[in-house]
This record gives sequence, structure tokens and C-alpha cells, in this order.
Amino acid sequence: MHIPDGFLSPPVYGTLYAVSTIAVGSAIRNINADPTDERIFKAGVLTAFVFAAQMVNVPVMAGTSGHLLGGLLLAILLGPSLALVTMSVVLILQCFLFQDGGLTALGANVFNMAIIAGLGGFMLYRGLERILPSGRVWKWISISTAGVIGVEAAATAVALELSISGTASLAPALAAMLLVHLPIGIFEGLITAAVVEFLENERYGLIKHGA
Amino acid sequence: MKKLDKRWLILSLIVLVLAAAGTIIASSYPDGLETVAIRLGFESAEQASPVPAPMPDYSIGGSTIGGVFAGIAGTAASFALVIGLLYLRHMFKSTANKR
Repeated sequence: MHIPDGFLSPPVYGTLYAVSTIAVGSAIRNINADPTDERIFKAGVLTAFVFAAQMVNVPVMAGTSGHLLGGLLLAILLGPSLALVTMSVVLILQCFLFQDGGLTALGANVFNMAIIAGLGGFMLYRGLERILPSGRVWKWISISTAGVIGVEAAATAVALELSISGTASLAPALAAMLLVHLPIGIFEGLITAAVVEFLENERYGLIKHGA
Repeated sequence: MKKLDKRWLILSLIVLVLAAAGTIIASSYPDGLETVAIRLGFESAEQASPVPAPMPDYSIGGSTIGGVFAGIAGTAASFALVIGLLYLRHMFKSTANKR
């Protein structure tokens, strides 16, 4: 979903640069500034995992591939502020070192993938967690739902940005974006649920919340 | 300082293996947005980056080993940047509190 240079008009990418800069700035102020070495190390390893996982494109339908975005995963495991900061680190490195996502579109890519898919998905997950019964199966259901809807919301945002920029007309762009990102969203939800279950397992899990 | 669970180091090794294998096992199909751009015919709107990246498309010279190196470099860089940023933030906050 990384937008390259040339797809967005200056007013669109300028606005999204401003929004993302403010959001990431306030997230940096919000993160717990007194972390233990263990928490810092965990954040580093999980960010590295998301970077590596994003390289692994998986075929999702005829001729199309997708990969984990990881924003929802980082938000569940590290909290929303640290997730926004670490996702931005991943997107900045992808942009500057690997030309994955355009320089002008960097703010838009942070907005779509870290804020909409990541934090938006996380808020939905938190809401579902509150209204659904607790338990392993329900947790899988709420994480998967948050993954699918978060990715589809980001796909919607991309379609809107493309149409406001005059690059594509809204209806076909929205229909096509939602269609191709449905399997990508399901993949996002299932992988996120699996990794969270693996790391938060009560008996042998590595991440204990509130510990 | 709480002692780091040794299994985090095992997890780090798994991440490193994923980083090395990533570019090899990755599908080369276009991603979701690229597919939409091709289908709707606006992929030609893409412009070259104003600043050339050292390892475009996670490759160095197109060789397998270049891809492996690029994957490890990016993964290690994200680890280092997050750790560095959090320590800086920690130091900055400590000095701010002393004032």
C-alpha cells in the first residue's frame, strides 16, 4: 500500500505530512520516557520483526501480492504511542534506503498505514474487546476483525487521496482498492492474532502486560 | 535492571533469519496498490524519487546475496534506530526533569 512519488498532488501530500508530523510528534512526547532496558530491547526486536515481515510479499490473488503492515500488532504489543513511533521508523527507512514509498508521499504513508490501519485498527480492537466475552477464540475474532477493517479503512483512505489528487476517479479506485485489500486485510488479521497469541501466552509467553 | 529473558535473543535470531530470507521468498507480484494502478491505468503517474535510495526495491545490483544483505541491513537499521531513539528520549526526559 506504499504510495510512490507522483500519485498525490502537493495539497494532499502536504496536508498529510502536517497531520502525520503532529501525530508522531505527540506520540514521541507520550511514550513512557522511563522504560526499562528490557522494554527498549523488546520494542527494537518487534520493530525489526515488522520491517522483515513487510519485505515478505505473499501472493494473495491472481497476480497480486500483499504483506503484513504490522501497525495493529505493534499497537497491541507496545501501546499506541510507541507503535506510531516505531511504525514511522519502519516507513522512513523503507522510503530513504529502499525507495519503498515515495519521499513526497511519506506523510501519507504514515497516515494510511500507521495511523489509519494501525491505530484505527487498535481502537476497534479495544472496543471489540470491551463488548465481546473474554477468551482465546473471541480474542482471535476481535484481532482479525480489527486487522481486516483497519486495512480496508486504509485502502479507502488511499482511494480518497488518489481521487482528491486527480490521479484516479473515486468509485473505480475505491472498488478496486477494497477488493484487492480484502485478502491482504484477512492476512493482516490472522498473522497479528497468531503472533499476539504466541507472545502473550500465559504460560510461556514473552510479553506479560502489567507485569 | 531486570534481566532480559534469554528467549528474546532466540526471537532476535528468528527475526534475523526472516530478514535474510525475506527478499528470496518474497513474491514479485505487484502489491495491492500497484495492481489497482495497473488495472485503472494510472501507474504511469509514478515519478522517480527526487533523492535516489541506496538499495532500491531491497536489492543491490540485482543479485541474491545483495537482496539478503539489503534485508539484513534494513532490519538491523530499524532495530538500531528504535533503540537509539528510545534511549535519546529517555536521556532527554531525565535532563528535563532535573531542571
